[in-house]
Formats: sequence, structure tokens, C-alpha cells
Amino acid sequence: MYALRLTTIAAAAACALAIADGAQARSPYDGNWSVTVSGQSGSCAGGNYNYPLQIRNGNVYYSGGDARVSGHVNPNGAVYVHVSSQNGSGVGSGRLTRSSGGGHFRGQTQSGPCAGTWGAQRTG
Amino acid sequence: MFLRAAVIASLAVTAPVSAAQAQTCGAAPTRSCVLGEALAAARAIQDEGARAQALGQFAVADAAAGRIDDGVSLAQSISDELWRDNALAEIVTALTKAGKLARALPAARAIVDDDRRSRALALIAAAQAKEGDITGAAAVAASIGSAAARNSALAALAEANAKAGNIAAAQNVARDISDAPARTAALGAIAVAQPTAANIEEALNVAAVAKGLPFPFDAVVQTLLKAGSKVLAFEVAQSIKDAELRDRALSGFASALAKAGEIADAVTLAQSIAGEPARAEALGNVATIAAQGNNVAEALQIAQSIADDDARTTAILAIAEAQARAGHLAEGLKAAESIKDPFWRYPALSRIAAAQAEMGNGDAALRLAQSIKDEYWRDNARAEVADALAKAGKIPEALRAAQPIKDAEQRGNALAAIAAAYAKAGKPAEGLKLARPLKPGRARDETLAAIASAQAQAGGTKEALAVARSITDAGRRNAALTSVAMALADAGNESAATAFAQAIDDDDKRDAALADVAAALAKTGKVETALAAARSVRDEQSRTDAVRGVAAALARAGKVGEGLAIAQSITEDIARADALRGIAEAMPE
Repeated sequence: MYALRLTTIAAAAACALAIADGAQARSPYDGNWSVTVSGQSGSCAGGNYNYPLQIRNGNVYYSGGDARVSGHVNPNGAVYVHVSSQNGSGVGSGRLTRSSGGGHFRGQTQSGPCAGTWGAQRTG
Repeated sequence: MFLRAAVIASLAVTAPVSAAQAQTCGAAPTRSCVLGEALAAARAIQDEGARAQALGQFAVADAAAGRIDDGVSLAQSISDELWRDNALAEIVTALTKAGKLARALPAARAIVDDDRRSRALALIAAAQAKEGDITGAAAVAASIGSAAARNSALAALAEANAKAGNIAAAQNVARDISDAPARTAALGAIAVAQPTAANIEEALNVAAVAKGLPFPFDAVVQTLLKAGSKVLAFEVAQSIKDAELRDRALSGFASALAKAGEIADAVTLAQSIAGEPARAEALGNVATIAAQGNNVAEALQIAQSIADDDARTTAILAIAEAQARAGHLAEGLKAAESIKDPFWRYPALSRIAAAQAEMGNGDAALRLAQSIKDEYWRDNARAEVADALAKAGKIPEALRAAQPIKDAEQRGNALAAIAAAYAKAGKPAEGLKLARPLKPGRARDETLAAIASAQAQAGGTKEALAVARSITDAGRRNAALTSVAMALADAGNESAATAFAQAIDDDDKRDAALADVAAALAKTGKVETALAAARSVRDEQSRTDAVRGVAAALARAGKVGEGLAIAQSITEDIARADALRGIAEAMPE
């Protein structure tokens, strides 16, 4: 379950990153976001998870202590994020509008590969 | 502070001896004597529920230690029905795990509560089925009253029948199962044992209503491949009428074929999926599996065939990442460089640079980082490289990597990793110089924790305590104080360990740390300090538990006499019985 959580954080983070309009400057989308991750295949198939994430200056931050997140967004809303931990790693990507959007994620954990989709809504 | 000291002082170790304590084991205690004393303490517990619970623990311990008759008999003597059933159920679990099924059965049947008895019987039936005792398992399953427990036993029975080749019997049992997850498991086992179109279809249809489509695709495909009839997977999946289930089944079979090395067939199957999102997902899965099998060129070709932009990009990024993590840097680089859009290519290159540094090739990693044109990802790559070099103890190289980083956050993370590396290398003062100016946050706090730990281990308790106290986040500060306290206690550094634990500002966490420190000190033979730490626990129940922990730790360390003396001094019957039992269990038979 822990490994799955780490993988799905990647998707959540990918989504949150993409909300920001600007690359490295302050983004009008800076703030808090709720991301829902849906596992489609592999070790997370059938699972749905929610994560709170924050965007500052176009970069995503995850306050949970169980993973390291890095990622970025470009002006047209394309996003990349990487998550790593002791239990594995994952990547997520997608494209968003200012208030919502979605994309894909893939990860490799101790429980095996995991893939799925994500969606997000701004919460503040 | 004075009040706290007065309260602690009032907790006398040795209280007036009660009637239950009157008969105690002497200077050369035997295991049986200590157990007898513990049992007497348990029987003397005034509260009926607590007494029943304690006696139940003795019964379970007896059964687990092989004294099955004693354990069952003691469990059955418990007057409280709930605790009696609880003890019997735990005995059944222990006996079943030990393979003593014939002894477990009467204990299970003695359980009064229907639901608990049913679950205990289901456990035994499943173990019987696993051992191949199909007749015994069927008889036990038939006697189970609760539907949920019976279903679980029947699923195990069906699986055992299927594995034994009794397909008709397995099907009859599976069709009697009234809940979907258990029937899914049973029908899946039948499909593996005999993968006919009808069996696969029936199992898939039942699995479709359960979360995540729990159908054993891999095992079924392996059986089909062995039988030379892999085409059946395609035919069965294609014949499914429900479009969503058909796509999911095709995706599952495609992944299973890819795992079995049948990449071309897997791609054909994935490409036959009608729904675009499901097809992209399946092709991405096949590409990822192919890359894991070192077919990177083929994997990239498959990934590039995905029509959806995001799904295609994610698949290629995942391949690059997986290759880098596996140490296949050339393949990872090839995957990263196949990404045309620099927005996606740069982070992939950053990951490869990090992997190069992790594998000890710092110069190549820095060159790759430097080649990234986007400033953010160049900084990210440098920070990742600095982190990897710092973790490998290559501090000057890590500093060289971190120096040009412009992004404050990433620079801070890199410097924090280097500061932690200084601490690990026995240079905490150097680490502190780097860590102090960092922006407050996780990275700074974790680095300060590492520095405090290094200082404490080197004997600089006062400086270490000051550094640990400067951690801004309360949770991380208390975790650091606990961690250092435990390391010091394990090393037998009694005063420093207690000082760190006492510095924790959360009452519950301080109590827990003091109890752990007390047990660790007892293990190293520091009995007096261990007891002092245990007795300084603020909460009364936690304090009793801590004293009990010291007694148990002493007994485990071979100091039975000292542990026994402490256990006998506990005035509270429940804790005393538990402590004495713990000591008896630590003694040789």
C-alpha cells in the first residue's frame, strides 16, 4: 500500500505542477490543489486516491515526508514530475487548464509496475 | 519542575507486598516457578475482564509453547465468554500456523460465538485444503455457520481441488460460493488449472464486478503457452460482449504475454483494443515490460506508436527512468534523447545525470547536467548530482556541483545534503556552517538532526542538544531527539540518552522515548539509570509499562534475577502478571 501511495503521488504532483501558468516566475495558479489519482493497471489497478499538493512559483510541493518530488510546468500547461523514495519511483505528465485537468502516470515499485490517470481541482 | 520531581519520587519501586505477591520465586528462580507466580498474579486481578484477558494471554502462550492441553484447558476455564472465545481463537490461529490442525479443531469447536467459531473453522479448512486434505477441508467447511467464513473456506477448497485436477469438484464448490471476491479467487484457480474458453470467460465475468479485475492473467497465459494454445487468450477476450470488460481483459492478457516474452503478440493484442485510453494504457504497459526485458529499442518503438501525446510521453519517460535506475545509462540516455520536445527531454536527462552520479561517475553527470539548456532543469540536475555525490561521501565534488545552482530551493536541498555528509564524515562543525543559513524547512531540519546525531555520538552532548533543539518543526525536532536518545542509550551513554529524551516537549512522545531509553539501557546493564528513566515517565499507565519493559529487557539480557526483582516490585496486578510472564518466556525451558 505504501509503494502504491508513492506511485500515485507522482501523478498527483504532475497534475499540481501543470496548474501553474508561468515557468519559474510567480504563477497565477499558485495555491493549494486536490489531486485524484486512479490506478488503471498493475499493482494499483482499481484504486482511487486523493492528495493535497501546493504550487509555488510554478513548482510543485508535497508536504508528506514519504517521498521526494521534483517537477515543473511550462507556459502552455504541460507538466512533468518525478517522485522517488526508498520504495521506488514514478513519473507523471499531463496538460491542464487553470482550474482543472488530467494526465497519465507510471511507476515502478516493490509491488511491481503501476500505471493510471489523474485529475485535479483547485482548492484554494 | 519541583512538582514533577516530587511526583516521580512518590513512585516507590517496592510497594507493600499483597497476598498475591506473598509467594515469590527465590534466589534461583526456575521458569516454571516464575510462570506459576505470574499465573497467581493474573488470577489475583480484581477486575473480571482484566483477569480474563490476562489468563487468556497465558493460555495462548502455553499453546504456542507446545503445552496445548494446558493452554486449551486454561482458556476454557475463563469465565468471561468474550475473553474465553478470544483466547480459544488465538490458540486456533497459533496451532493452525504450526500445522497442528487436529489439535486446533476441538479448540475451534469450543468457541461459543458463531462468528468467531466460523472464522476459526474457516482458517483450519483453508489450511487442510492447502495441505491436500480435501475431504477433511470439505467436512469442516460444511460445518461453518457464517456465510462469509464458509465462502472463504470454500474458495480454498475449490483452489485445492483445481490444483489436484478435480475440475468438476472445484466448479461445484466454486458455484456454491455466494460472495464475488471468494468466487473470483476460486474460478481464477480453475481457469489456471484448466484454461478452457468457458472457464476463462466464467472467471472473467465474475472478476469484472470486483475492484481491479482480480483475474490471474499471468498464470493463465503461462498455462496456455505451455499447452501451445496462446491464441485462446485472444479469442476469449475478443468474444466478450461488454466493451469495457473486453478492453480490460485484452489489456491484462497483453501484459501477461509481454511478461512471458511474447512481445509481438502482446502488441497485436494491445492494438486490438477498441477504446483509445485503454489501448494507450495497454501499449504503455507492454513497452514498459519490454524495456524491463532489455528490449529498449523495441520498447521505444512500441511507446512511440501510442497515439495519445501524454500517454506516449509518460511511457517514454518511465522507460528512461527505469533504465537509469537499473544502471543501464546508455539505454536510459537513448530513451531520453528520443523525446523531441525539450520540455520533457530535459527532466529525463536530469534523471540520467543523477543516476550517473549515483553510479560514481560524477564528471560525466556534471557534463550532462551542464548540457541542459533550461535553467530550472539544469539546476535540478546539478542538485540531484550534488545529492548523490554527497551521499557517496564525495564532498568537494558535491560542492562543485552545487555551487552554480541559482534556484534557491534546489540550492538549499543540495547544500543540506552536503552538510549531512560533513556530519557523517565526522565534521559536524563544517556541516553546521552550511546548514545554519538554510531556509527553515524539511531539508534544514533533517540536516540538523544528522548533525546533532553525529555530535552526540562524538561526545558533544551539550552542542548536540542545542542543535537538535534548533530544529524548527516540532514533529521533526522530537523525532530527532528520540532518535539520538535511542542511539545513545544503545551505546550505554545513560546520562546523555536521558537528557535527550527529557528534552522532548510533547508529553506522550517524551514518555514513549523515556520508556524506550529505559529498556535500551536495561539491555546494556545500566539497571539503576534504566529504572530512573522508566520512573520519570509522566503518565501512570505508561510508567508501569516502562518499568515492565525494563524487567523484560533485563531478563532477555540474561539478568533474570534483577528483572524478577523489578517485576515483583510492580504493585499493579495486571502489569506484574505481564512482566512475570515476559520474564518466564525469556528463560530457557
